[in-house]
Amino acid sequence: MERLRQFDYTILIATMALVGIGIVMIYSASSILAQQRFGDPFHFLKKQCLYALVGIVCMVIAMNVPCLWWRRLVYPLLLLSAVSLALVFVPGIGHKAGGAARWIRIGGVNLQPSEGAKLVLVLYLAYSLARKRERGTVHRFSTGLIPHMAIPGILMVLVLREPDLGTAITMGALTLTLMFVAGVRIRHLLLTALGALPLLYLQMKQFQWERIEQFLRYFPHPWDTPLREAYHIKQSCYALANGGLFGQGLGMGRQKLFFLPEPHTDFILSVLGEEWGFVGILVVCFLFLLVLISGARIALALKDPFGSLLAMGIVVMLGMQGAVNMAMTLGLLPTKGLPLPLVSYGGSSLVVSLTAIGILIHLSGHAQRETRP
Amino acid sequence: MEYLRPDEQEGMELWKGRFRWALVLIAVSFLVLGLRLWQLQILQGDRFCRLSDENRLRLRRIPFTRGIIFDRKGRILADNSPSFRLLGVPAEMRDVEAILRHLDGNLKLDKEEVLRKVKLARRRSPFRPIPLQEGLSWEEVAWVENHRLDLPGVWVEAEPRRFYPYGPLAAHLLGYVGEITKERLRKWKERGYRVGDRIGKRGLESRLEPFLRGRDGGLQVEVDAQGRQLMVLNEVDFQPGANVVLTLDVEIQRLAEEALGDRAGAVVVGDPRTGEILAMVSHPAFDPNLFSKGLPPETWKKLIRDPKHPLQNRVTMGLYPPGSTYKIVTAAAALEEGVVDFKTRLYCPGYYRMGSREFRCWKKSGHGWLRLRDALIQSCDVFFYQLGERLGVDRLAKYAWGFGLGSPTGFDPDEEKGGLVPTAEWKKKKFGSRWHPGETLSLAIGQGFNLVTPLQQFVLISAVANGGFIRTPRVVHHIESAQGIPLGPWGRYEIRRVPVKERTLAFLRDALRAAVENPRGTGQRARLPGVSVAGKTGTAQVVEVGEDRKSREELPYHKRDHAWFLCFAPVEAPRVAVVVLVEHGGHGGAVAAPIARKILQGYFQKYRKGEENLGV
Repeated sequence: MERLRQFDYTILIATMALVGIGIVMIYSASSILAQQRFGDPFHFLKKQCLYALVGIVCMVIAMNVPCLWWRRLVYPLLLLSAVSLALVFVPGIGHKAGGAARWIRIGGVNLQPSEGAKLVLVLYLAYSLARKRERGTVHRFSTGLIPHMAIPGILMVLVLREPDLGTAITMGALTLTLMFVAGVRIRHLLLTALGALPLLYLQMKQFQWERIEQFLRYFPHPWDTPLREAYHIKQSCYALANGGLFGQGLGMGRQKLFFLPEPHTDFILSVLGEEWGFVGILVVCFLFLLVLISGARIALALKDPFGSLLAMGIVVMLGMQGAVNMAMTLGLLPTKGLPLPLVSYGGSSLVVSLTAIGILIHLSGHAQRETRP
Repeated sequence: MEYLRPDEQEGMELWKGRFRWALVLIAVSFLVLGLRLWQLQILQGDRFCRLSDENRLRLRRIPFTRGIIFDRKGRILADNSPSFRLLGVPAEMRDVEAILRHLDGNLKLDKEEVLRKVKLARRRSPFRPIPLQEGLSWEEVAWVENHRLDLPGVWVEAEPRRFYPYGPLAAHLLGYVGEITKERLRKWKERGYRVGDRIGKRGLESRLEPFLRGRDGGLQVEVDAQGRQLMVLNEVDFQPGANVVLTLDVEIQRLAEEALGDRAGAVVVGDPRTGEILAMVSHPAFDPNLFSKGLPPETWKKLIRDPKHPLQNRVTMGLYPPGSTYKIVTAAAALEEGVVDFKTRLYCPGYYRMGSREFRCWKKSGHGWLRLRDALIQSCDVFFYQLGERLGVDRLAKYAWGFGLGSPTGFDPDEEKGGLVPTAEWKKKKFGSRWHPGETLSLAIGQGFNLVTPLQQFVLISAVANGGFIRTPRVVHHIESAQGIPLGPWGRYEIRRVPVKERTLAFLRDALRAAVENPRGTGQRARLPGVSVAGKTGTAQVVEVGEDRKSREELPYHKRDHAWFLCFAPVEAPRVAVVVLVEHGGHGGAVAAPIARKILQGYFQKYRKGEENLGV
């Protein structure tokens, strides 16, 4: 009982609020779509509730797993992650949707290994960088740079092959940020970034280039572009404009009626903006920042390099994904199919995010013990 | 190269300092996002709102075409023809009254009804297009297209509609299509059916629905305030349904329908060797095109309330007492069970007394001494009363079942009646009373409780013709994809043997031939020069046996006798079997036999020996 009081409950409460808002908005955004596709308006709602339940169980488990276990699990998890990313391409196990092979099907459940890979990447980088720091070798090219380029590189190439450019770039940015934070030389980081570019170029598909090119063309004024690719952005902008300051009211949005693509996943924020307005989005942003700031405080309070880096990694992972999704919704980045963590519909994303939050809460226990005199 | 190893504490500070930089980056990006949000939602909100009002996405359905139904010679029985309907999006028809005023006078439109529909849809789903008017003429379509600018939110859509070029020809067999019902929709949702879909409701349209149905395509278009197409976002082609080739022959079908004329009744023409149906008539019929258009409720009520039941397929669903045609079964049973042989002579004084009841022969003066063959030729009732008495009800039932009576033929599992072959046990169960031997006498001449469908009669006479094989009648020759690739055999066809020896069947064929050719035969009016015909007449009484027989004109229509005629030809090697039933038509020999004769005549003109196979 004593131990329970040591956790940081701000994160827990903010997280639960985000998941709750997500479930409400998913129902509002998808009920008509679900009625048409599955004959059941509650289809996505029911599934998301189930995912949330599984996620909460994972979170509670993660809250109680000692840090030592994570250290021991780093390499097995890395291997598991790489194998599951490769299984995506195996016919019979891999599951394709919309031209991309991003899922594996096990026991009737579709899993998206790239979601898990992000968390595993954070675990690995925190472990490896912390160890190199303790040994004082993080500055060196051979120990500070090479492994942290090679191992994330393998995962990234696998993700890029699916193809899932958005997740691959997120992973790359995550790696660079963590290396930067851990004290790898700026020179080396620039080198890594330069080294990654040709790799990215070679792996990228034609249509991905075209999409970026088009984005650069319509980005300044998407609403005047009669391009098919600007369509999503246009509809998203219309949704937000319809929302205004206070929104049209829950369930009253109309862009979700087949105007917006995937209103319950990537563009959930547009629906929220139309129904709850500017204020509604600010509330979601506030809750997000609450999680991030609490996480940052934990990271800064921790003395143990592994724990501290892990907390930082999770904060950066969630913050980056959130920011990218919002930027996409607001027409500041090309649409790449990244969900808003904790809010968007999607089982793998929700379960992984909640597990990460669980780890963060566990670390908050250490942080409070360490700061106590 | 040597690196300075920083002090542990100092390093910690460095790295946390760097983390602060990362945090600042995230904070800045959120700030940028917030500003952008402010710009989009507050500053430029009005502008976007207006733009979004003028900008609409429409999902336009490209409806599939239903599979075509051909006859055996490739003539089209069911096709698709374009039909135009006026659609409107309620939310975009801002001034409905003005639009309706504009439409009124140029289009045949029920203004109040449309206004009510639009107002209702406005509250429910204002962005979904609703049909305003079905079946627009070419002039109306041209008018709407020319006045597009005055009709915001309104446009014309072309939709393939089921079209039956021959109208009511073979209507019962083909069936019709109509809008899917709510109950059916609930069951078929997983199969991709949606509200407003047209599906096969009866006959082959219904049974072959999974084949005839294709898949819708779709067009995702962005339109402006005038409904003009700005750009196509996505397009998926439709898939046409599979085509069906029937064994039916339109010419024979028409011949049979003409021969029956405007009398209520049924005709089946087919090949006794294979069970293939060449013609299947049920009269009165209906025009299936009426259903494609969307039937007005008054017409529907009229069809349902018509005392002659035009929607009922009499061939498979009509139950009638078989009358004297049943003597074929009684004769076969008597020979097989040995209660008489070919030479046994029985006496007919014009009546048969059993206990206190007197059973009459149709010929009051009586037939005198007769053998079984003569009794069949002249259709002597008294002779068969005696056979019935000797056989008993249950032995008779055994042979009736053997000939396929008492259960559906398997031709149409959804819409087919099995008829009735009574037994002592059945009566006990049904009425709780004992079987009277007197009832067997009525049974033996096809009166009493027994009921048959015209299709069962076709199977029965085919079995006599083809040497004792009971075959499931078939009308679908094969099904092929729209590209002409055969999709394999369809349907369940069974063959079994009648429990009757070939010697008996040969005797029956000979006796039935004589019933047509003999100057005293009842089926003389089916006689055809140059072709040997075998047949059996039947006059099924509607009123109880024993009541005085009055002439046709004296009785009210619904009490008049049903006229039957079953036949096949040529007797030496039968190629065609015909069953004719005229409801309340009177005497089988006088009414039904001439109809069969006309059909046979036409058949032998069209199908010379060896030419009955598919295709020209």
